[in-house]
Amino acid sequence: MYSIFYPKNKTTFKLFLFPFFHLSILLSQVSYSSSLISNFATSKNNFNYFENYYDLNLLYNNWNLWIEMEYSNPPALGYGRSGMRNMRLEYSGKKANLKIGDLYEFWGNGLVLNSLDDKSIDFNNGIKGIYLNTPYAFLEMDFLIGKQAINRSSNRIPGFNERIHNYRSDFNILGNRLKLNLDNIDISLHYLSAKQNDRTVDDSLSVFDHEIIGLNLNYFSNYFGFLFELVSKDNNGNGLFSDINIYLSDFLFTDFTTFGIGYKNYFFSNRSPSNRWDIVDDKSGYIPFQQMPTVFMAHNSILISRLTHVIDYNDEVGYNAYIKMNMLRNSTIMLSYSLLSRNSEWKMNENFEWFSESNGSSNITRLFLPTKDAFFNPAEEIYLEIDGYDNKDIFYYKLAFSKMNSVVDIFENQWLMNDKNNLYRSSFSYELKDAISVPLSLMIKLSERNSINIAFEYQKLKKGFKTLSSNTNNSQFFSNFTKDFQFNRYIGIGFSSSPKWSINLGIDYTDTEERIVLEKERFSNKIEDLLSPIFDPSLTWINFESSYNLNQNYRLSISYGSKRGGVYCSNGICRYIQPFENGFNFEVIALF
Amino acid sequence: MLSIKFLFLSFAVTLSFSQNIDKNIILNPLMGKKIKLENYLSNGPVLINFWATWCAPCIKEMPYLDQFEKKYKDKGFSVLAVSVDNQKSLSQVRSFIKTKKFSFDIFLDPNMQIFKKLNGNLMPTNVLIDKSGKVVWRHYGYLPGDEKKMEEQILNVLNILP
Repeated sequence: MYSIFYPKNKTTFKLFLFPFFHLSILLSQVSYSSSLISNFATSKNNFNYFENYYDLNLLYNNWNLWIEMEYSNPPALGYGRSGMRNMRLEYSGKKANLKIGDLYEFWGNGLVLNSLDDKSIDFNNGIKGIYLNTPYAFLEMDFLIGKQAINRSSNRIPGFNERIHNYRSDFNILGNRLKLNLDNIDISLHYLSAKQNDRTVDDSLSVFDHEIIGLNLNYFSNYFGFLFELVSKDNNGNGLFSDINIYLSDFLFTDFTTFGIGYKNYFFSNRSPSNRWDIVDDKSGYIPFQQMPTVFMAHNSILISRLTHVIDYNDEVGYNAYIKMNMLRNSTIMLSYSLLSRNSEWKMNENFEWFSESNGSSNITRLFLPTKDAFFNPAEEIYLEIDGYDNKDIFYYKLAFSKMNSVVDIFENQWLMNDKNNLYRSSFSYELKDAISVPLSLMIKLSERNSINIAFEYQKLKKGFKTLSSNTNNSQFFSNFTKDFQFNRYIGIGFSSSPKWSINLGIDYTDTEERIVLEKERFSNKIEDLLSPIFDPSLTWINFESSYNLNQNYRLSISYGSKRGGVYCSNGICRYIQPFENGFNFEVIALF
Repeated sequence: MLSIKFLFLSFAVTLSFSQNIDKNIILNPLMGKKIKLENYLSNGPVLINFWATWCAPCIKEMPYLDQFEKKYKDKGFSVLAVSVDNQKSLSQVRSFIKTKKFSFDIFLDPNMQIFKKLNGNLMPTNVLIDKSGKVVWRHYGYLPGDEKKMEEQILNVLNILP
């Protein structure tokens, strides 16, 4: 007769009821929100994945608990996981803010600390630890202690895989920040110490201590803005970033004009072209939680973003000068010029061994401004963009022009002595990229709810090797493509009905492919077969996608077709993403 | 028996948690001292918009947010535009907003911590919060015409008849 709900006597019953009653009162004061993203994809070239991320936020008075669960088998990128991905408990008070668990923090402009979880490139440098922030009037103090395990890819050790990282580094971290907040100016001092533990290529344990000290300054007024950050690492490497803006209202024929210039000069390690990206044998240089400003335009054009310059945080100097003008109510014109390069040139001797004037040490003559000299790995871009709405807000346009060129890698730069004992460059070989891109995007409102979206992008790309042989004394260019230039085009045609649904057809096509491509096999889909009289299916990737908002809490997306692979960059980190050939992708986003 | 019913009832209440937001969320402005969300909520409802300079739909949507901020500011309504630009484009945020002459307040969330707390998943994400801190409307993405629905929701939360 007696069950768990009917204890044997009244006293036991009260004792039984008491904790439940209190727990219930406690929980009734808890508010929560959660979301689920479920992503399933299957393709003919085995780029299959099934990812599920569940985020839960619980709030009780000044306490907040965030839990992120993951079930992926496998994920699009990275290791499969089933269980907790992230967890953090936070307390926000008037005198102190405390965080315990997975920490993602950003100090200044990221030259000392910038920890983030970017699933699009499978980069997670979050810190497991404790973070204490104590604000007092205009002063703030921060204290950080924790551990970090970062997975990255390296082709210097076995097991290189384009989807899964093969190299792990562990860090013990200790950091402090002191920040002064005045009316128009912020000044902060940063300190970070990190002990790195990992293995070298011969599998021996390596321990390396890093220490970074930084100063950050931020000034802002209605007419002028100024950002400045200077860091020193291990007493021999350093980095500087600055950004200056001048704001002018009703300047000349414009409603508002901004002049700006961003500048960087990073020098944390002096590396030869052959070990420039080595993370296994050379632990000096920047550390993975130094994610710094790139000072190079970030693009959302499909074709331009594939060409993004790979930033060398260890050794790069550069600037980005721009002017932004607002005119004709909602139209903006932007003109930007960027130039980046390395700080020094590496040369080869008669035995084809790399050497620099400093012989590998950091005592080199650094550049104040970048150079266009090919042997300094320059990257240059001129970018012009105009966008805005018409006066009735029924037509939106964005037209841009980009001219980008860069030297990707240097393979040979041999200098020999002539009869007069003068050094001369006898041979060289490097890979270059030169492109002109024109992206156009249009949106036309047909009614209050319905609209058409059209995108057209054009790109002329030259990519290949330039060499000079001592035998012929003539420089030659060898294209990576079967033709001298590759012409890429992207066409997007979409229709949407607010706030419920949208459909889009994306056609990405080219006229030639690289001689060496990572994925040679093509699996044409039904849309590509249908359009084969117009577009060559072997050089075209067509994708159809549709999204539907059931209500404000549920959103479904489905896509069918193929997506072209290529280098995808995020946060200054680039990664090759393989093509998605003839498959389905189904995504659900739900809020609870 | 009554006690047992009460016990079940209290658990039922417990299970239907409210979708309240953390009023203590600390917002990091473009310039100056950090500020808590409750400072804005004390004046009236708030629309939090997550955006980035590289997000094309966000940029299409922003002129409407600016219109709503100007139109309903005297009713206590605020738009808080939280940029999730990372270090790559963070320095462009200020010049972008100044050039476009947007009047709403701008905050930075380069590591997407506030974005995660408010269950943001796509860009742009809009979260409309009433004065008591309750989420009354949420919307992912921007389709041309969404601004009509957004304005309806703002009028609802302000108790203004259209």
